[in-house]
Amino acid sequence: MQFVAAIMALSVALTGGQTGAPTVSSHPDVSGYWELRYDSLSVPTASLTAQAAADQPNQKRRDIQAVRSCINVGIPALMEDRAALDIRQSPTVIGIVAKSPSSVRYIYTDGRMHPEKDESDPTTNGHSIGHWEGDTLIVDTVGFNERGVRSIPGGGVRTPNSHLTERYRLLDGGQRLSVTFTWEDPLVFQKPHTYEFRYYKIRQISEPRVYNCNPNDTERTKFLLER
Amino acid sequence: MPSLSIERIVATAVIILFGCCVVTARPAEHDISGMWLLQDPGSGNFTDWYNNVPKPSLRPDIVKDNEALAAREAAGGVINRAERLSSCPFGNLPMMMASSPPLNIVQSRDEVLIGAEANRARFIYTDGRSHPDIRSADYVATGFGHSTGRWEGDTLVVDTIGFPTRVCDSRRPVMVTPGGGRAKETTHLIERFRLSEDGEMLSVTFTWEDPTVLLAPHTYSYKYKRLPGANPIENNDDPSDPAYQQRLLESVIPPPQK
Repeated sequence: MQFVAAIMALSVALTGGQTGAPTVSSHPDVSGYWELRYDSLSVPTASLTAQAAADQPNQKRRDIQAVRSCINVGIPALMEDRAALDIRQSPTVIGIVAKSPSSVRYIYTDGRMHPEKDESDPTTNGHSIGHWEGDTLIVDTVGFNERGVRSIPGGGVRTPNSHLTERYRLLDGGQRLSVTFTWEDPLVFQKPHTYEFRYYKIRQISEPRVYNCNPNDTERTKFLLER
Repeated sequence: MPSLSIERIVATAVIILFGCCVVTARPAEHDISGMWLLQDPGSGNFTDWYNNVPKPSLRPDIVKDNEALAAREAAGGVINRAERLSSCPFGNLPMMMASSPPLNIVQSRDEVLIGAEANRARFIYTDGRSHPDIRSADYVATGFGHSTGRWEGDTLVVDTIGFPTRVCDSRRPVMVTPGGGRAKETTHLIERFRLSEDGEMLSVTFTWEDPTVLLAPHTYSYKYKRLPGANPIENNDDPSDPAYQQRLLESVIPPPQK
């Protein structure tokens, strides 16, 4: 009995306690609840084109209107949600859920390519495909629309021409998740704009898992429009 | 009894670990991740489809309530005049699982996400946690309830409780399940998710239990077809758009289409 117990304990220690449930591939597993904190954001100022710089105040107003209207925020705001993100990884697809009004974000890791432009409608989250390079998940996203909260941290705006490359990497024994974002869009940026978020892993997430947004809430509207 | 040598322990653990890695190096055998399209045998309209299940044994008061709902609709009460409030429960599990937008499932070790065009995800916890105290003031009920799951061989068994007492719909102020039952605070749902041998079909068997609604548990099954390579779509409704709000006010329960 002592022998069996020792074997089980060592096996559990080596496998992280995985049981008979289906498991993800041999790549790192980024599944979990991930929270941004005061020291999580490392965001330099973007080098904007003159046109993009001039449009910044207008974009802030458009973003507030989108928030007021309870429209899906989309990327990049989804990744900047101040409630914890829920990231779930299967062998072929990764799902990311935020509490703010938003669609579930899907990152396909099954080897597929982006769809042709006439085969898929653009969305607030765009179309994301990913692949692993060692312990880093590289995610490529295109196919954005012009809806949602589109201001990019550090300056600039997400447009239908935007190209986003993200690099996901676990740190500190899996307790932190580094995501480096690089935006490219020649009409917005003079050079690619890169910033990093480092999320903290947390054990639990508050329920319910959604902010039930009401566009007819006059108090909320008043608060937003006074900002 | 075998001797407790460190070599023996390590060797056996490596064998167990190796077996684990062989499993994890390829897509999991019972991974239900993917996009899944509900297979409707041709009901003709959604109401007929929704009720195209074995007839539940309903309590007499529920039968009476269904008759009253039907009478109100027949008399023209087909517009939802309930005020949309932030406190309105979001989500509707039986409706989501019965609707035509494909289910988009992501299965991780500790949690299964189920999304659909309606954007919001349903969560099934497979990390061994228990349900919360749904009678607690801290529990906020949603139309998805609270779901926990466990694997029994090749079948994911999902247990859901904690549905809302009422929903914001003046026509049907309660969540109606297929066949005319109810999903509410006293309801218990058990779902069994199982892949076909070739992995191309997903069957889900639903069993509803609620002694305040049903005289016996109500069971039916749906089949979903895998959509390989399909990409998600997004609901682009603008809740603040006056035209959208007007459409909501004009939305009706469709008349019979036979």
